[in-house]
Amino acid sequence: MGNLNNRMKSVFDKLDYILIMCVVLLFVISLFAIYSASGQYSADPMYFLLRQSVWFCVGLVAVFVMLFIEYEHYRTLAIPFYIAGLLSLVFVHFFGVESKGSQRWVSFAGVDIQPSEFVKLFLILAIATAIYKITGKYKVKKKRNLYILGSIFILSIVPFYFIFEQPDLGTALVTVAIAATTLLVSGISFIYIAIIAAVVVAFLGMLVWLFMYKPEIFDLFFKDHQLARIYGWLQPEFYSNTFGYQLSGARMGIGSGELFGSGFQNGSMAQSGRVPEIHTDFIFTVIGEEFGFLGAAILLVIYFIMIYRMIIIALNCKDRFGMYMIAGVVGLFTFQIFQNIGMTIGLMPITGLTLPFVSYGGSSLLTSMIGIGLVLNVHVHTKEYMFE
Amino acid sequence: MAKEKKKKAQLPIRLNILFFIVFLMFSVLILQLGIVQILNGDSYRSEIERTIQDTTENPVPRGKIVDRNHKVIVDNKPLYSITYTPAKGVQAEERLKVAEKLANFISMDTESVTDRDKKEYWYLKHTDEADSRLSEKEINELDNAEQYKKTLEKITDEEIKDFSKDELQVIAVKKELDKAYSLTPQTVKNEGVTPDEYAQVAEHLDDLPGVNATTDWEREFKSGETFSSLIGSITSQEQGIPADKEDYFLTRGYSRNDRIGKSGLEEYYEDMLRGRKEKIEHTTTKNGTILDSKTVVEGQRGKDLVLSIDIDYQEKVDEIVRDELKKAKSSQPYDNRYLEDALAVAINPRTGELLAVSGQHYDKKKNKYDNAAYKALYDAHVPGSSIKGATVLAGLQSGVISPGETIYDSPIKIKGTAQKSSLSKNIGLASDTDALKKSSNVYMFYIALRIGGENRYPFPDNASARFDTGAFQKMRNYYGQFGLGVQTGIDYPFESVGYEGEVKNDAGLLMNLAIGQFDTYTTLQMAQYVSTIANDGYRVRPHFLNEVREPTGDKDKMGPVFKSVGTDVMNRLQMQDSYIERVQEGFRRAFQEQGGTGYSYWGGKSYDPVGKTGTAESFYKDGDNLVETDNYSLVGYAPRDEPEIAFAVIVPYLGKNNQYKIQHNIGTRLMDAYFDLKEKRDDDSKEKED
Repeated sequence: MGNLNNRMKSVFDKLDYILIMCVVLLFVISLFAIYSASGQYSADPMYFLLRQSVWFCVGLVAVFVMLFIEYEHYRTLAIPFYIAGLLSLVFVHFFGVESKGSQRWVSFAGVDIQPSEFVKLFLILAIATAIYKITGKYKVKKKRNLYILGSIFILSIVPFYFIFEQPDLGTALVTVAIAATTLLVSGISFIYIAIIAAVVVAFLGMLVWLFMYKPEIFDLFFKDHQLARIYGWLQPEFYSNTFGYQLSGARMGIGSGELFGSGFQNGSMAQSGRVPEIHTDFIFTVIGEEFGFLGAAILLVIYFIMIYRMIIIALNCKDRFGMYMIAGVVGLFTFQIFQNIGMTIGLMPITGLTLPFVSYGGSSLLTSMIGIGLVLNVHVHTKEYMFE
Repeated sequence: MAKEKKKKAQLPIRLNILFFIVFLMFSVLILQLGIVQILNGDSYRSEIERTIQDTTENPVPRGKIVDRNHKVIVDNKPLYSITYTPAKGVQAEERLKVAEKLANFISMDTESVTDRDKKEYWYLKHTDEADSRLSEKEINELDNAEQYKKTLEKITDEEIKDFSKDELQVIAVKKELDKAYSLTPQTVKNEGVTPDEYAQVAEHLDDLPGVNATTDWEREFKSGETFSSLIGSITSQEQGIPADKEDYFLTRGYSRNDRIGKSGLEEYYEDMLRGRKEKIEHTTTKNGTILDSKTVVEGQRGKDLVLSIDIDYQEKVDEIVRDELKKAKSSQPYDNRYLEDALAVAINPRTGELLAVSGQHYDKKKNKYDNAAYKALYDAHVPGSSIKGATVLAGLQSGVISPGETIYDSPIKIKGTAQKSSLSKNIGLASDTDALKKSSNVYMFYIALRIGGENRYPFPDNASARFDTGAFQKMRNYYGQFGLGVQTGIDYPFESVGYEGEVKNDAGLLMNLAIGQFDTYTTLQMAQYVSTIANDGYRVRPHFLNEVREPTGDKDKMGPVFKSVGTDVMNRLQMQDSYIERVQEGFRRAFQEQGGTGYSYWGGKSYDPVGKTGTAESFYKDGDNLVETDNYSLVGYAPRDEPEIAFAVIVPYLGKNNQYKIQHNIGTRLMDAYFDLKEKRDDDSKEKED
C-alpha cells in the first residue's frame, strides 16, 4: 500500500502542470463553445455538454492509468496495437456504419466509435518503436537511413490507404503528418529530408499548375466530392448555395466576430443553423464569431503553449523512444489544429477533422487525452533516469 | 562513444526545426485570422446584417383595360381584405394563438373545414396526450413527419365531433393562416369583409402579429358579358401561378400565390398589366421578430391597356348578332335546328384595329344565348364564294386569265365526278367582274383547272382532266397572301389557322378549293382577307391593343403613353394594282349593281359598300349522322374609296331550306350601326365645340 502511495506521490510530483493547465483551459473553452453551438442540433443545451464532460472524465481516468505504466513498456505493446488498429480499419471498411457519405464508425455497445482516431495513436507508437529499434541496431548511417525511411513509409501507408478510402481525407493526412514529424526527428540524413520535401513541393506545384492551366487533367485525379470541396474552398461565395455553403457561412461568421466578438450565444451565423456541423468540425466558428479575434487568439496561444511544452519535454528527455513518440504527438496535434482552423478561415480545403479538445466527440477527445497521456508519461518517467 | 554523442547532439536541432515549423504554422493561422476578422471583419459583418434583412413583396392592382375612347371595360373593384404575413420560423402553436384572437373579430365560412383540419387543431390543443399514444416502436422507427401523421390518425372521430361554433371559426381561420409562406402576405378573408370586421381587426393589429387589414381588389367587367370572353380571366390567389409554368414565373419575380392572367388578353398582356410590386424590407432578429420595415420599392399598379375596340359599337354588334341569330332560329326552327353560332368581325382595314369581335352562341341544353366572341378566332368553317376575290386575283396574277376575259357559265362534267355548276342558272357569258358580281362558280373552276394544267375551253363533256396536285399548294400560297389558312398575327394567346382539306389527285377538289368549299377559315382570317383587298393589297396585322398607358392615381384620367401599337404591314400582295382594282370593282358590282348577289340588301346604302357573299355546303355532325347544312358568309367594306371599316360574317350550319338571309342582315345592320354611331359622335363633338 505504502509503495503505491509513494508511487502516486512521485507521479503527481513530476507531472507537467503547465501542460495539464492548457488541457483544462481548452476543455473549459470547449464547454462554452459546445453549449453555445448545440442549439441547432438539440433542444436541450446541456445534452452535448454533459456527454462531452463524461468523455473528459473517461479520458482523465485513461491518462491516470497510463501514467503508472512506464512508457518503455509501450514498445512491447506497439505492434499488437498497430495490428489491432489495422484490423479495426478493415472491419470498418466492410461492416462500418455509413453516415454523411463516409464509412468511419463502428457501433459498439451503443456508442459509435471511430477507429481511425485511435489508429493515429497506434501509428505513433509503431513508428516510434520501429525507429528506436533501427537506430539502436544499425550504426552504419547509409543502411539506417533506408531502413528508417522504409519502415515509416510501410507503417503509415497501410492505415493511410484504409482511412483515405472511407473516405476521410483529413485523418488520412494526419497519418502523413505523423510520418513527417517522426521522420524529421528520426535522425535520418537531411539529404533524404530535402529530397522528400522537394518531391512533395514538386507534386503540390504540379497540382496547382494543373488546376490553373489544365483543369480537365486535374479533375481526373480527384473524385467528384473532393473536387466539389476544392472548388468550394477556393470560391466559397460563388458556390455558397452548394458545397461552399458551410465554408462561406463559417467564414462570414468568424469575420463578423471582428476584434471582440458578438458575445456568448449571440453569433448570427453560429446560432442561425447556417453552419452545419458547428458543434463538431466547425466549432471554431463559434469561438471566432462569439469571442472575436481576441478569443480565437487566446485559444491559439493555449495550443501553442501546449505544443511548446511538449517539445520542451522532448528536449529534456534523454531517451530517443520518448522523443519519437512526442514528435508524433506534436505532428498529430499541430496538423489537426492547423487544418481545422485553417479550413474555417479559408486557408485549407474542408476535411472532416475535429479541433483537439474543443470539438464535440468522444473518440476525438479520448484520443487527444491519450496523446497528452503519452507525453506526460515521458515527462514523469524522465527524471528518474537522471539519478541513475 | 564519441559517435553516439554526436548523434544525440544532432537531435535537439531537429526538435528545434520541428518547433520552428509549428511556430510558422501558428503564425500563418494568426495572420489569416487577422485578415478575416480585423481586416475584412467589417464587410463580413455587414453581409450578415444584410442576410437577416428580408423583403416582402406586396401585390399591386392590375392595370385597367379601356376601349379606344377610354371607356373602361375592365377595372379593379376594391375589397376589404384581412391578410397574414408570418415572420420566419413561426410555429403552429403561435399561428393558433393568432387564429384564436382573430376569430373574435371576423367570421369565416366553416364549410371548407375538413376532418384533417379539425384533427390538427385537436392535436395542438392536446399535444401531450396525442404524443403519448405513439408506441415506443413508432417513436424509434418513424421520422418526425411520419410520427405526426400517425398521431393524427390516432385521433378518433369521436374526439373531433363536438367542436363549438367558435372553435370551428378558429379552425377555419387557422386553416388560412397555415397556407401562408413566411414573409409573403396571404389573404385570410377578402370576400364579404364588413366595414365593422375591417375596423375591429385594424384596431387590434398590435395583438395580432403578422395580421394586416388592407384593401385587395378583384376584376370587374364594366360592360357585363360583352367582350369578356376575349378579355379572359386571371387566376385566384389559391390557384396562383400555374404549376407547369412555375419556373417561368418565379424567375420573373412572381410569388406562388400571385394572380396572373390565365386566358385571353389578360394572359397575352400579363407583362403590362401586372405592375410593380411594393417591396418592403424588414430587419428581423435571428428569431424572426420584425424590428423595422421600410419600403424600398414603391409599388405601382399595372399599366393600362387602351384597346382598339369601340365598346359601344361592340355592344351594339353583340346585340345585332344575337338578335339575328334568334330571328333565324325562330323563323325556321326545324330547318335551322343545327344553327348555333353567328360570328362577326369588324376591323379598320387600313390599320388592323379591331373595332368589334362578336360571337353569339346558342346553348341548346340550357336554351340560352352566350357571348362567345373567341369563336371568331378559334372556329374555322368553309366559307363558300366569299373568297372568290382571292381566286380571281390568283387567276389574274398566274396569268391563266386576263383582265376582262369572258367565260361562258355552263356546267362542267369531269369523268368520274359529279357535274359542277354555279348556284345561279342564268349567268351566261361572264367576265371576271361579272363572275364576282353574280358569283359564277364555273369561272372559278376554269381558273382552278388552268392552274392545275388543264387548259381546254370549253372543257369537253365527261372528259378526264389533266391535273397537277402541286396546284393545291400554288392556290394556297395565293390565299395565304390574304391571310387565309395562315396566322393572322393577332395579339391573342391562340388563333386557329383553319383546316386544310386532304390533297388528292382529284381536280374536283381543287375546283372546290377555288370556291371556298374545301379549306376552312376563321372569321378573323376572312376579315383580314377582305381588309387586304380594301387596303389595296397591303395585309395588316389585326390587333386588339392600341396603346399602353402608364398608371395614374387620378381615376378619371389616363396616364402618359408608354407604348403605342402602330400599323403593321405583314405583306403586300404580289399582284398588280390593276388586278386588285378588278376585284374591288367586282365587289362593287356584287353589292351595288342590279343582279349582283348582294344588291337587294346593299344597293341603297349611302356609305358606298362593296363586298362578296358566300354559301358553302357543310355537314353538321349530329351524333353519328352527318347532316347536310349550309354555311353563310359575307365579307365587305366601306366606303369603297377610303375604306374605314371592313367586316366578315360567318354563320355555320343553317338548314338547306333556310330562307332567312342572316348574313346580309347582320352585315347591313352592323355597317349601319357603325356609320350611325360615327355620325352621332360627330354631332356630339360639334355640339361640344359650339
